Amino acid sequence: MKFKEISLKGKYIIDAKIELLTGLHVGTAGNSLDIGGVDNPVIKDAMGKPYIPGSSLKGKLRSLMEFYNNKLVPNQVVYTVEPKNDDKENKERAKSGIRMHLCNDENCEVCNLFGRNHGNHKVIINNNGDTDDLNLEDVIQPTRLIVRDASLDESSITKEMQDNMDFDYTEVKFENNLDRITSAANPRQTERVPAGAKFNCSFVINVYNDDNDTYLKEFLTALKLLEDDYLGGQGSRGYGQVKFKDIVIRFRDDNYYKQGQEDKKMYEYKELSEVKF
Amino acid sequence: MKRFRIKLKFTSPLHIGYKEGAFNLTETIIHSDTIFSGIINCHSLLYGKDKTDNLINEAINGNFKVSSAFYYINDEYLYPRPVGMNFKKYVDDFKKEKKINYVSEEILFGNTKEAYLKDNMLLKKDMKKNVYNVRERPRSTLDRITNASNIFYTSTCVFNEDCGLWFFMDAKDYIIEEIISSIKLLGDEGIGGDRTYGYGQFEFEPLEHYIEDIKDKNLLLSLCIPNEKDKVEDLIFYNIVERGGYIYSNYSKVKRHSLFRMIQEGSIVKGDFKGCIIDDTPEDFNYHKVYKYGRAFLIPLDWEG
Repeated sequence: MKFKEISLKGKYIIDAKIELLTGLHVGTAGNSLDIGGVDNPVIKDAMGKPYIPGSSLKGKLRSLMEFYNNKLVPNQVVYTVEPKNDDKENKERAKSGIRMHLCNDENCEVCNLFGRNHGNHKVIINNNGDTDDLNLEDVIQPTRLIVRDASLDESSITKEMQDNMDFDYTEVKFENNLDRITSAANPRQTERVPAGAKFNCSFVINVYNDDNDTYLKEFLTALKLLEDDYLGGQGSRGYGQVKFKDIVIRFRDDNYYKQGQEDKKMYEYKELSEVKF
Repeated sequence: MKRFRIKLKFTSPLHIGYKEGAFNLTETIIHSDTIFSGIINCHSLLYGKDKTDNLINEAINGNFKVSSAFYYINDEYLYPRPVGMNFKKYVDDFKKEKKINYVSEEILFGNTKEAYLKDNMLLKKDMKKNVYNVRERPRSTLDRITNASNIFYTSTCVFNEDCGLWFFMDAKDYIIEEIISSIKLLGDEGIGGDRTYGYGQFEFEPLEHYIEDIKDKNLLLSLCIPNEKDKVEDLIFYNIVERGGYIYSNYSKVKRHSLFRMIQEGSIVKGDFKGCIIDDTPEDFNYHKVYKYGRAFLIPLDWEG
Protein backbone atom coordinates (compact mmCIF):
# COMPACT_ATOMS: atom_id res chain seq x y z
CA MET A 1 0.00 0.00 0.00
CA LYS A 2 1.34 3.36 -1.02
CA PHE A 3 0.38 6.64 0.50
CA LYS A 4 0.96 9.86 -1.37
CA GLU A 5 -0.84 12.89 -0.09
CA ILE A 6 -3.01 14.58 -2.69
CA SER A 7 -3.32 18.33 -2.69
CA LEU A 8 -5.35 20.50 -4.99
CA LYS A 9 -3.22 23.00 -6.92
CA GLY A 10 -6.11 24.52 -8.80
CA LYS A 11 -8.79 24.02 -11.38
CA TYR A 12 -8.91 24.71 -15.08
CA ILE A 13 -12.36 25.91 -16.04
CA ILE A 14 -13.06 25.44 -19.73
CA ASP A 15 -16.12 27.15 -21.19
CA ALA A 16 -17.06 26.67 -24.80
CA LYS A 17 -19.93 26.61 -27.21
CA ILE A 18 -20.91 23.42 -28.99
CA GLU A 19 -22.30 24.17 -32.40
CA LEU A 20 -24.25 21.46 -34.16
CA LEU A 21 -23.23 20.96 -37.76
CA THR A 22 -25.82 18.21 -38.22
CA GLY A 23 -28.90 17.24 -36.22
CA LEU A 24 -28.30 15.78 -32.76
CA HIS A 25 -30.23 12.97 -31.14
CA VAL A 26 -29.52 12.14 -27.50
CA GLY A 27 -32.33 9.73 -26.80
CA THR A 28 -34.41 9.13 -23.72
CA ALA A 29 -37.36 7.01 -22.80
CA GLY A 30 -40.69 8.46 -23.82
CA ASN A 31 -43.08 8.45 -20.91
CA SER A 32 -46.29 8.63 -22.86
CA LEU A 33 -47.72 6.93 -25.88
CA ASP A 34 -49.42 9.72 -27.76
CA ILE A 35 -51.18 8.81 -30.95
CA GLY A 36 -49.19 10.38 -33.73
CA GLY A 37 -46.39 11.19 -31.28
CA VAL A 38 -42.69 10.81 -31.91
CA ASP A 39 -41.25 7.35 -31.31
CA ASN A 40 -37.76 8.47 -30.43
CA PRO A 41 -37.79 11.59 -28.25
CA VAL A 42 -34.67 13.53 -27.30
CA ILE A 43 -33.77 14.30 -23.71
CA LYS A 44 -35.13 17.59 -22.36
CA ASP A 45 -34.71 19.47 -19.11
CA ALA A 46 -37.41 20.65 -16.73
CA MET A 47 -38.15 23.64 -18.96
CA GLY A 48 -38.73 21.41 -21.99
CA LYS A 49 -35.52 22.50 -23.68
CA PRO A 50 -33.15 19.88 -25.06
CA TYR A 51 -29.72 19.65 -23.44
CA ILE A 52 -26.62 17.48 -23.68
CA PRO A 53 -26.14 15.49 -20.48
CA GLY A 54 -22.68 15.59 -18.92
CA SER A 55 -22.65 11.81 -18.82
CA SER A 56 -23.14 11.53 -22.58
CA LEU A 57 -20.33 13.97 -23.28
CA LYS A 58 -17.97 12.43 -20.78
CA GLY A 59 -18.67 8.87 -21.87
CA LYS A 60 -18.04 9.79 -25.49
CA LEU A 61 -14.80 11.61 -24.73
CA ARG A 62 -13.57 8.72 -22.64
CA SER A 63 -14.29 6.10 -25.21
CA LEU A 64 -12.55 8.17 -27.93
CA MET A 65 -9.47 8.58 -25.76
CA GLU A 66 -9.36 4.85 -25.10
CA PHE A 67 -9.11 4.18 -28.83
CA TYR A 68 -6.71 7.07 -29.43
CA ASN A 69 -4.24 5.97 -26.76
CA ASN A 70 -4.45 2.34 -27.79
CA LYS A 71 -5.84 1.24 -24.44
CA LEU A 72 -8.14 -1.52 -25.62
CA VAL A 73 -5.63 -4.33 -25.38
CA PRO A 74 -5.57 -7.43 -23.16
CA ASN A 75 -4.69 -6.72 -19.51
CA GLN A 76 -6.21 -3.24 -19.77
CA VAL A 77 -9.84 -4.03 -20.54
CA VAL A 78 -12.38 -4.90 -17.88
CA TYR A 79 -15.97 -6.04 -17.75
CA THR A 80 -18.03 -3.21 -16.29
CA VAL A 81 -21.12 -5.34 -16.33
CA GLU A 82 -20.28 -8.90 -15.47
CA PRO A 83 -21.49 -11.45 -17.98
CA LYS A 84 -24.86 -12.60 -16.77
CA ASN A 85 -24.80 -16.29 -17.46
CA ASP A 86 -21.73 -17.77 -15.92
CA ASP A 87 -21.00 -20.01 -18.86
CA LYS A 88 -17.96 -22.18 -18.92
CA GLU A 89 -17.33 -21.25 -22.51
CA ASN A 90 -15.44 -18.01 -22.67
CA LYS A 91 -16.78 -17.06 -26.05
CA GLU A 92 -20.28 -16.91 -24.65
CA ARG A 93 -19.05 -14.82 -21.75
CA ALA A 94 -17.48 -12.19 -23.90
CA LYS A 95 -20.72 -11.73 -25.77
CA SER A 96 -22.82 -10.65 -22.85
CA GLY A 97 -20.50 -8.41 -20.79
CA ILE A 98 -19.82 -4.72 -21.34
CA ARG A 99 -16.14 -4.06 -21.84
CA MET A 100 -14.18 -0.85 -21.37
CA HIS A 101 -10.71 0.28 -20.46
CA LEU A 102 -9.63 0.44 -16.81
CA CYS A 103 -6.11 -0.22 -15.61
CA ASN A 104 -3.74 0.00 -12.69
CA ASP A 105 -1.07 1.99 -14.50
CA GLU A 106 -0.19 4.96 -12.33
CA ASN A 107 0.43 7.22 -15.33
CA CYS A 108 -2.52 6.15 -17.47
CA GLU A 109 -3.81 9.31 -19.20
CA VAL A 110 -7.32 7.98 -19.63
CA CYS A 111 -7.91 6.61 -16.14
CA ASN A 112 -6.31 9.59 -14.41
CA LEU A 113 -8.37 12.11 -16.34
CA PHE A 114 -11.70 10.33 -16.54
CA GLY A 115 -11.52 8.40 -13.29
CA ARG A 116 -11.41 4.85 -12.07
CA ASN A 117 -14.15 2.82 -10.53
CA HIS A 118 -12.55 1.44 -7.40
CA GLY A 119 -14.81 -1.56 -7.08
CA ASN A 120 -13.96 -5.13 -7.94
CA HIS A 121 -13.32 -5.80 -11.60
CA LYS A 122 -12.35 -8.66 -13.82
CA VAL A 123 -9.62 -7.77 -16.31
CA ILE A 124 -9.47 -9.62 -19.62
CA ILE A 125 -6.02 -11.16 -19.98
CA ASN A 126 -6.05 -12.62 -23.48
CA ASN A 127 -7.93 -12.60 -26.73
CA ASN A 128 -10.01 -15.60 -25.70
CA GLY A 129 -11.65 -13.51 -23.03
CA ASP A 130 -10.12 -15.24 -19.99
CA THR A 131 -10.30 -13.02 -16.94
CA ASP A 132 -8.35 -12.26 -13.81
CA ASP A 133 -8.99 -10.03 -10.79
CA LEU A 134 -7.81 -6.43 -11.11
CA ASN A 135 -6.18 -4.77 -8.13
CA LEU A 136 -6.45 -0.98 -8.05
CA GLU A 137 -5.19 -0.49 -4.50
CA ASP A 138 -1.99 1.37 -5.46
CA VAL A 139 -3.30 3.77 -8.07
CA ILE A 140 -6.22 5.38 -6.30
CA GLN A 141 -6.67 9.01 -7.25
CA PRO A 142 -9.62 11.34 -7.41
CA THR A 143 -11.17 11.92 -10.83
CA ARG A 144 -9.83 15.02 -12.51
CA LEU A 145 -12.45 15.81 -15.12
CA ILE A 146 -15.90 17.18 -14.37
CA VAL A 147 -18.26 17.56 -17.32
CA ARG A 148 -21.38 19.64 -16.79
CA ASP A 149 -24.67 19.37 -18.58
CA ALA A 150 -24.60 21.57 -21.67
CA SER A 151 -27.61 23.87 -21.85
CA LEU A 152 -29.19 25.12 -25.04
CA ASP A 153 -28.45 28.66 -26.16
CA GLU A 154 -32.00 29.66 -27.02
CA SER A 155 -31.01 32.49 -29.32
CA SER A 156 -29.29 30.02 -31.64
CA ILE A 157 -32.68 28.63 -32.66
CA THR A 158 -34.03 31.47 -34.73
CA LYS A 159 -37.61 32.39 -35.47
CA GLU A 160 -37.09 31.28 -39.03
CA MET A 161 -35.92 27.86 -37.93
CA GLN A 162 -38.87 27.53 -35.59
CA ASP A 163 -41.30 28.20 -38.43
CA ASN A 164 -39.99 25.17 -40.24
CA MET A 165 -39.84 22.85 -37.26
CA ASP A 166 -42.45 20.63 -35.67
CA PHE A 167 -41.70 21.58 -32.07
CA ASP A 168 -40.30 24.69 -30.40
CA TYR A 169 -36.75 23.46 -30.20
CA THR A 170 -36.64 20.26 -32.19
CA GLU A 171 -37.37 18.87 -35.62
CA VAL A 172 -38.82 15.49 -36.49
CA LYS A 173 -37.06 13.47 -39.13
CA PHE A 174 -38.77 10.63 -40.93
CA GLU A 175 -36.74 7.63 -41.86
CA ASN A 176 -37.64 4.47 -43.59
CA ASN A 177 -36.38 1.02 -44.21
CA LEU A 178 -37.40 -1.03 -47.15
CA ASP A 179 -37.89 -4.73 -47.52
CA ARG A 180 -35.23 -5.83 -49.94
CA ILE A 181 -37.60 -8.04 -51.92
CA THR A 182 -41.06 -6.52 -51.76
CA SER A 183 -39.98 -2.91 -51.13
CA ALA A 184 -42.53 -2.78 -48.29
CA ALA A 185 -41.88 0.33 -46.23
CA ASN A 186 -41.37 0.45 -42.48
CA PRO A 187 -41.21 4.12 -41.52
CA ARG A 188 -40.02 5.54 -38.22
CA GLN A 189 -39.61 9.04 -36.84
CA THR A 190 -36.76 10.49 -34.87
CA GLU A 191 -36.80 13.74 -32.96
CA ARG A 192 -33.59 15.74 -33.16
CA VAL A 193 -32.11 19.09 -32.30
CA PRO A 194 -31.58 20.90 -35.61
CA ALA A 195 -28.23 21.80 -37.10
CA GLY A 196 -27.18 25.30 -36.16
CA ALA A 197 -28.28 25.02 -32.54
CA LYS A 198 -25.67 25.96 -29.96
CA PHE A 199 -25.08 24.63 -26.47
CA ASN A 200 -23.09 26.19 -23.66
CA CYS A 201 -20.77 23.60 -22.20
CA SER A 202 -18.42 23.78 -19.28
CA PHE A 203 -15.66 21.47 -18.11
CA VAL A 204 -13.45 21.44 -15.02
CA ILE A 205 -10.04 19.80 -14.81
CA ASN A 206 -8.63 19.49 -11.32
CA VAL A 207 -4.87 19.96 -11.02
CA TYR A 208 -3.35 17.80 -8.28
CA ASN A 209 0.23 17.72 -7.04
CA ASP A 210 2.58 18.05 -10.06
CA ASP A 211 0.08 17.65 -12.91
CA ASN A 212 0.58 21.13 -14.37
CA ASP A 213 -1.19 21.18 -17.74
CA THR A 214 -0.67 17.52 -18.73
CA TYR A 215 -4.33 16.66 -18.48
CA LEU A 216 -5.49 19.90 -20.06
CA LYS A 217 -3.57 18.88 -23.19
CA GLU A 218 -5.06 15.40 -23.09
CA PHE A 219 -8.49 16.88 -22.75
CA LEU A 220 -8.09 19.25 -25.70
CA THR A 221 -6.99 16.29 -27.80
CA ALA A 222 -10.20 14.52 -26.76
CA LEU A 223 -12.26 17.51 -27.91
CA LYS A 224 -10.49 17.45 -31.28
CA LEU A 225 -11.26 13.76 -31.60
CA LEU A 226 -14.91 14.43 -30.85
CA GLU A 227 -15.15 16.95 -33.68
CA ASP A 228 -14.25 14.18 -36.09
CA ASP A 229 -16.61 11.72 -34.48
CA TYR A 230 -20.18 12.20 -33.37
CA LEU A 231 -22.26 12.85 -30.31
CA GLY A 232 -25.48 11.09 -29.38
CA GLY A 233 -27.11 8.39 -31.44
CA GLN A 234 -27.29 7.51 -35.12
CA GLY A 235 -23.85 8.99 -35.76
CA SER A 236 -22.98 6.71 -38.64
CA ARG A 237 -26.02 8.10 -40.45
CA GLY A 238 -24.81 11.65 -40.18
CA TYR A 239 -26.26 12.75 -36.84
CA GLY A 240 -24.34 14.54 -34.16
CA GLN A 241 -21.44 16.29 -35.89
CA VAL A 242 -20.32 19.09 -33.59
CA LYS A 243 -17.82 21.92 -33.52
CA PHE A 244 -16.39 23.60 -30.43
CA LYS A 245 -16.26 27.39 -30.59
CA ASP A 246 -15.27 30.34 -28.43
CA ILE A 247 -13.18 28.28 -26.04
CA VAL A 248 -12.12 30.15 -22.91
CA ILE A 249 -9.77 28.47 -20.44
CA ARG A 250 -9.43 29.98 -16.99
CA PHE A 251 -7.38 28.86 -14.01
CA ARG A 252 -8.47 28.99 -10.39
CA ASP A 253 -5.69 28.37 -7.92
CA ASP A 254 -6.23 27.72 -4.24
CA ASN A 255 -6.16 31.45 -3.44
CA TYR A 256 -9.46 31.76 -5.29
CA TYR A 257 -11.00 29.73 -2.49
CA LYS A 258 -8.83 30.88 0.40
CA GLN A 259 -8.60 34.61 -0.24
CA GLY A 260 -11.32 35.27 -2.77
CA GLN A 261 -8.97 36.19 -5.62
CA GLU A 262 -10.27 36.39 -9.16
CA ASP A 263 -9.46 33.53 -11.51
CA LYS A 264 -6.98 34.08 -14.32
CA LYS A 265 -7.88 33.88 -17.96
CA MET A 266 -5.19 31.69 -19.48
CA TYR A 267 -6.11 30.98 -23.07
CA GLU A 268 -8.80 32.02 -25.49
CA TYR A 269 -9.48 30.34 -28.82
CA LYS A 270 -12.05 30.93 -31.52
CA GLU A 271 -11.97 27.29 -32.49
CA LEU A 272 -10.04 24.13 -31.66
CA SER A 273 -7.72 24.28 -34.66
CA GLU A 274 -6.02 27.29 -33.05
CA VAL A 275 -5.00 25.22 -30.05
CA LYS A 276 -1.29 24.50 -30.14
CA PHE A 277 0.49 23.02 -27.17
CA MET B 1 -18.74 31.13 18.44
CA LYS B 2 -20.64 32.34 15.42
CA ARG B 3 -23.64 30.82 13.72
CA PHE B 4 -24.20 31.02 9.99
CA ARG B 5 -27.21 30.07 7.96
CA ILE B 6 -25.81 28.80 4.70
CA LYS B 7 -28.10 29.02 1.74
CA LEU B 8 -27.23 26.66 -1.09
CA LYS B 9 -28.38 27.61 -4.55
CA PHE B 10 -27.93 24.58 -6.75
CA THR B 11 -26.68 25.23 -10.25
CA SER B 12 -26.97 21.61 -11.33
CA PRO B 13 -29.07 18.57 -10.43
CA LEU B 14 -28.41 16.77 -7.15
CA HIS B 15 -28.16 13.05 -6.51
CA ILE B 16 -28.10 11.81 -2.92
CA GLY B 17 -28.44 8.05 -2.90
CA TYR B 18 -29.75 6.33 0.19
CA LYS B 19 -30.32 2.76 -0.85
CA GLU B 20 -27.59 0.48 -1.99
CA GLY B 21 -27.52 -0.39 -5.66
CA ALA B 22 -30.56 1.74 -6.44
CA PHE B 23 -29.40 4.67 -8.57
CA ASN B 24 -32.97 5.52 -9.44
CA LEU B 25 -33.71 6.74 -5.92
CA THR B 26 -32.56 10.05 -4.58
CA GLU B 27 -33.00 11.92 -1.35
CA THR B 28 -34.06 15.54 -1.62
CA ILE B 29 -32.48 16.85 1.57
CA ILE B 30 -28.87 16.39 2.70
CA HIS B 31 -28.10 14.91 6.10
CA SER B 32 -25.54 16.44 8.45
CA ASP B 33 -23.04 13.57 8.12
CA THR B 34 -22.88 14.07 4.34
CA ILE B 35 -22.36 17.82 4.69
CA PHE B 36 -19.66 17.36 7.31
CA SER B 37 -17.88 14.79 5.18
CA GLY B 38 -18.04 17.07 2.13
CA ILE B 39 -16.53 19.99 4.03
CA ILE B 40 -13.79 17.88 5.59
CA ASN B 41 -12.79 16.29 2.27
CA CYS B 42 -12.56 19.67 0.56
CA HIS B 43 -10.65 21.07 3.51
CA SER B 44 -8.08 18.34 3.16
CA LEU B 45 -7.66 19.08 -0.56
CA LEU B 46 -7.07 22.76 0.15
CA TYR B 47 -5.08 22.72 3.38
CA GLY B 48 -3.51 19.29 3.65
CA LYS B 49 -3.87 16.37 6.03
CA ASP B 50 -2.41 17.90 9.20
CA LYS B 51 -4.63 20.97 9.19
CA THR B 52 -7.66 18.80 8.52
CA ASP B 53 -6.83 16.61 11.50
CA ASN B 54 -6.85 19.83 13.54
CA LEU B 55 -10.26 20.80 12.20
CA ILE B 56 -11.68 17.39 13.09
CA ASN B 57 -10.31 17.83 16.61
CA GLU B 58 -12.08 21.19 16.81
CA ALA B 59 -15.28 19.45 15.72
CA ILE B 60 -14.83 16.72 18.33
CA ASN B 61 -14.38 19.45 20.97
CA GLY B 62 -17.58 21.09 19.81
CA ASN B 63 -16.03 24.16 18.16
CA PHE B 64 -17.45 23.36 14.75
CA LYS B 65 -20.78 21.76 13.98
CA VAL B 66 -23.29 21.60 11.17
CA SER B 67 -26.96 20.76 10.88
CA SER B 68 -28.69 18.87 8.10
CA ALA B 69 -29.88 20.83 5.07
CA PHE B 70 -33.58 21.53 4.57
CA TYR B 71 -35.59 23.36 1.93
CA TYR B 72 -35.99 27.07 1.51
CA ILE B 73 -38.33 29.00 -0.75
CA ASN B 74 -37.13 32.55 -1.33
CA ASP B 75 -36.65 33.76 2.24
CA GLU B 76 -38.93 31.21 3.87
CA TYR B 77 -36.95 28.53 5.66
CA LEU B 78 -38.34 25.10 6.46
CA TYR B 79 -37.53 23.00 9.50
CA PRO B 80 -38.16 19.32 10.05
CA ARG B 81 -41.48 18.74 11.76
CA PRO B 82 -40.93 18.33 15.49
CA VAL B 83 -41.91 14.77 16.31
CA GLY B 84 -45.24 14.66 18.11
CA MET B 85 -46.07 18.33 17.62
CA ASN B 86 -49.63 19.09 16.72
CA PHE B 87 -50.56 21.26 13.72
CA LYS B 88 -54.29 20.66 13.72
CA LYS B 89 -55.13 24.33 14.04
CA TYR B 90 -53.60 25.01 10.62
CA VAL B 91 -55.17 22.22 8.64
CA ASP B 92 -58.76 21.04 8.70
CA ASP B 93 -58.19 17.35 8.30
CA PHE B 94 -56.14 15.06 10.54
CA LYS B 95 -55.21 12.93 7.54
CA LYS B 96 -53.61 15.96 5.98
CA GLU B 97 -52.02 16.88 9.25
CA LYS B 98 -50.10 13.65 9.57
CA LYS B 99 -48.55 14.15 6.13
CA ILE B 100 -46.62 17.21 7.29
CA ASN B 101 -42.88 16.59 7.36
CA TYR B 102 -41.50 20.11 7.06
CA VAL B 103 -42.70 23.27 8.73
CA SER B 104 -41.95 26.89 7.92
CA GLU B 105 -39.84 28.85 10.39
CA GLU B 106 -42.56 31.50 10.73
CA ILE B 107 -45.09 28.92 11.83
CA LEU B 108 -42.75 27.20 14.25
CA PHE B 109 -41.26 30.28 15.90
CA GLY B 110 -43.33 33.23 14.72
CA ASN B 111 -46.99 33.94 15.28
CA THR B 112 -48.45 33.35 11.86
CA LYS B 113 -52.08 32.34 12.01
CA GLU B 114 -52.58 31.11 8.48
CA ALA B 115 -50.74 28.32 6.81
CA TYR B 116 -50.92 26.41 3.59
CA LEU B 117 -50.15 22.79 3.00
CA LYS B 118 -48.06 21.98 -0.05
CA ASP B 119 -47.26 18.27 -0.42
CA ASN B 120 -45.57 17.51 2.89
CA MET B 121 -44.65 21.10 3.72
CA LEU B 122 -46.56 23.53 5.87
CA LEU B 123 -45.89 26.96 4.38
CA LYS B 124 -46.63 30.56 5.23
CA LYS B 125 -47.47 31.53 1.67
CA ASP B 126 -49.48 29.62 -0.84
CA MET B 127 -47.21 28.18 -3.45
CA LYS B 128 -48.26 26.92 -6.86
CA LYS B 129 -45.08 25.42 -8.24
CA ASN B 130 -43.13 22.54 -6.78
CA VAL B 131 -40.11 23.19 -4.61
CA TYR B 132 -38.21 20.44 -6.37
CA ASN B 133 -38.68 17.88 -9.10
CA VAL B 134 -37.22 14.42 -9.06
CA ARG B 135 -36.40 13.33 -12.56
CA GLU B 136 -35.46 9.86 -13.63
CA ARG B 137 -33.56 9.36 -16.80
CA PRO B 138 -32.08 6.41 -18.63
CA ARG B 139 -28.36 6.14 -19.13
CA SER B 140 -26.30 3.53 -20.81
CA THR B 141 -22.80 2.14 -21.03
CA LEU B 142 -21.58 1.00 -24.41
CA ASP B 143 -19.24 -1.86 -25.09
CA ARG B 144 -16.14 -0.41 -26.73
CA ILE B 145 -15.92 -3.14 -29.33
CA THR B 146 -19.41 -4.31 -30.17
CA ASN B 147 -21.35 -1.18 -29.14
CA ALA B 148 -23.66 -3.44 -27.11
CA SER B 149 -25.46 -1.33 -24.53
CA ASN B 150 -26.34 -1.70 -20.89
CA ILE B 151 -29.15 0.53 -19.79
CA PHE B 152 -29.68 1.82 -16.26
CA TYR B 153 -31.71 4.56 -14.65
CA THR B 154 -30.61 7.42 -12.43
CA SER B 155 -32.67 9.96 -10.55
CA THR B 156 -31.75 13.49 -9.77
CA CYS B 157 -33.39 16.23 -7.78
CA VAL B 158 -33.72 19.58 -9.52
CA PHE B 159 -34.72 22.59 -7.43
CA ASN B 160 -37.03 25.20 -8.77
CA GLU B 161 -36.00 28.81 -9.19
CA ASP B 162 -35.54 30.54 -5.82
CA CYS B 163 -35.69 27.18 -4.03
CA GLY B 164 -32.86 25.16 -2.58
CA LEU B 165 -31.42 23.88 0.68
CA TRP B 166 -30.07 25.65 3.74
CA PHE B 167 -28.17 24.51 6.81
CA PHE B 168 -26.82 25.96 10.04
CA MET B 169 -23.12 26.03 10.83
CA ASP B 170 -21.55 26.93 14.16
CA ALA B 171 -17.85 27.66 14.34
CA LYS B 172 -15.28 29.46 16.45
CA ASP B 173 -13.99 32.67 14.87
CA TYR B 174 -10.49 31.42 14.09
CA ILE B 175 -11.63 28.53 11.89
CA ILE B 176 -14.51 30.21 10.06
CA GLU B 177 -12.39 31.43 7.16
CA GLU B 178 -11.01 27.95 6.47
CA ILE B 179 -14.47 26.42 6.57
CA ILE B 180 -16.02 29.00 4.25
CA SER B 181 -13.18 28.43 1.76
CA SER B 182 -13.83 24.68 1.96
CA ILE B 183 -17.54 25.16 1.31
CA LYS B 184 -16.66 27.35 -1.67
CA LEU B 185 -14.54 24.52 -3.06
CA LEU B 186 -17.30 22.02 -2.25
CA GLY B 187 -19.64 24.11 -4.40
CA ASP B 188 -17.31 23.65 -7.36
CA GLU B 189 -16.59 19.98 -6.62
CA GLY B 190 -20.21 19.10 -5.97
CA ILE B 191 -21.95 17.24 -3.16
CA GLY B 192 -23.58 13.84 -3.41
CA GLY B 193 -23.23 11.36 -6.22
CA ASP B 194 -22.27 11.50 -9.91
CA ARG B 195 -20.15 14.57 -9.33
CA THR B 196 -17.98 14.02 -12.39
CA TYR B 197 -21.08 14.64 -14.49
CA GLY B 198 -21.38 18.03 -12.84
CA TYR B 199 -24.06 17.05 -10.34
CA GLY B 200 -24.46 18.61 -6.90
CA GLN B 201 -22.80 21.96 -7.60
CA PHE B 202 -23.96 25.06 -5.83
CA GLU B 203 -23.39 28.70 -5.08
CA PHE B 204 -23.88 29.77 -1.51
CA GLU B 205 -24.49 32.68 0.74
CA PRO B 206 -23.46 32.63 4.42
CA LEU B 207 -25.86 34.73 6.48
CA GLU B 208 -24.92 35.44 10.05
CA HIS B 209 -27.54 34.24 12.49
CA TYR B 210 -28.01 34.87 16.20
CA ILE B 211 -27.38 32.03 18.63
CA GLU B 212 -30.07 31.24 21.15
CA ASP B 213 -29.16 29.33 24.28
CA ILE B 214 -30.63 25.90 24.42
CA LYS B 215 -33.48 25.48 26.86
CA ASP B 216 -35.46 22.73 28.44
CA LYS B 217 -36.91 21.45 25.19
CA ASN B 218 -34.86 21.52 22.05
CA LEU B 219 -35.35 20.59 18.44
CA LEU B 220 -32.68 18.41 16.85
CA LEU B 221 -31.59 19.64 13.43
CA SER B 222 -28.95 17.03 12.63
CA LEU B 223 -28.55 13.30 12.79
CA CYS B 224 -27.19 12.32 16.18
CA ILE B 225 -25.39 9.45 17.85
CA PRO B 226 -25.59 9.85 21.67
CA ASN B 227 -22.28 9.76 23.55
CA GLU B 228 -21.67 7.93 26.84
CA LYS B 229 -22.71 10.87 29.00
CA ASP B 230 -25.95 11.65 27.17
CA LYS B 231 -28.93 10.27 29.00
CA VAL B 232 -31.46 8.30 27.03
CA GLU B 233 -34.18 9.70 29.32
CA ASP B 234 -33.48 13.10 27.78
CA LEU B 235 -35.00 11.98 24.52
CA ILE B 236 -38.60 13.15 24.75
CA PHE B 237 -39.87 12.38 21.27
CA TYR B 238 -37.64 10.80 18.70
CA ASN B 239 -37.31 8.79 15.53
CA ILE B 240 -34.48 6.49 14.67
CA VAL B 241 -33.00 6.11 11.23
CA GLU B 242 -30.44 3.66 9.88
CA ARG B 243 -27.44 5.11 8.10
CA GLY B 244 -25.02 2.96 6.17
CA GLY B 245 -23.24 4.13 3.07
CA TYR B 246 -19.74 4.23 1.74
CA ILE B 247 -16.59 5.97 2.87
CA TYR B 248 -15.40 8.64 0.47
CA SER B 249 -11.65 8.74 0.32
CA ASN B 250 -9.12 9.94 -2.21
CA TYR B 251 -6.74 7.27 -1.03
CA SER B 252 -8.67 4.06 -0.77
CA LYS B 253 -10.82 1.60 -2.61
CA VAL B 254 -14.53 1.67 -1.92
CA LYS B 255 -15.18 0.70 1.70
CA ARG B 256 -18.33 0.68 3.71
CA HIS B 257 -19.24 2.60 6.80
CA SER B 258 -20.50 0.51 9.67
CA LEU B 259 -24.25 0.54 10.02
CA PHE B 260 -25.36 3.20 12.49
CA ARG B 261 -28.71 3.79 14.08
CA MET B 262 -29.00 7.51 14.51
CA ILE B 263 -31.55 9.83 16.04
CA GLN B 264 -33.35 11.64 13.27
CA GLU B 265 -33.83 15.33 12.62
CA GLY B 266 -36.99 16.67 14.20
CA SER B 267 -36.55 14.72 17.43
CA ILE B 268 -37.08 16.60 20.68
CA VAL B 269 -34.54 16.38 23.46
CA LYS B 270 -34.28 17.76 26.96
CA GLY B 271 -31.32 19.91 27.98
CA ASP B 272 -27.84 19.81 26.57
CA PHE B 273 -27.61 16.73 24.42
CA LYS B 274 -24.15 16.55 22.85
CA GLY B 275 -23.85 13.54 20.59
CA CYS B 276 -20.48 12.44 19.36
CA ILE B 277 -18.20 11.83 16.43
CA ILE B 278 -17.31 8.16 16.19
CA ASP B 279 -14.02 6.82 14.88
CA ASP B 280 -15.19 4.41 12.21
CA THR B 281 -11.87 3.55 10.57
CA PRO B 282 -12.10 0.06 9.05
CA GLU B 283 -9.54 -2.49 10.19
CA ASP B 284 -7.32 -2.68 7.13
CA PHE B 285 -7.45 1.03 6.44
CA ASN B 286 -4.35 2.98 7.38
CA TYR B 287 -4.27 6.03 5.16
CA HIS B 288 -6.20 8.31 7.45
CA LYS B 289 -8.91 8.17 10.08
CA VAL B 290 -12.54 7.80 9.15
CA TYR B 291 -15.24 9.38 11.27
CA LYS B 292 -19.00 9.21 11.44
CA TYR B 293 -20.44 12.59 12.29
CA GLY B 294 -23.13 12.38 14.93
CA ARG B 295 -23.01 15.61 16.92
CA ALA B 296 -26.32 17.07 17.89
CA PHE B 297 -27.30 20.48 16.53
CA LEU B 298 -29.96 21.86 18.83
CA ILE B 299 -32.15 24.91 18.77
CA PRO B 300 -34.60 25.81 21.55
CA LEU B 301 -38.27 25.12 21.00
CA ASP B 302 -41.02 26.69 23.07
CA TRP B 303 -43.69 24.13 23.12
CA GLU B 304 -46.05 22.65 25.64
CA GLY B 305 -46.92 19.13 24.77
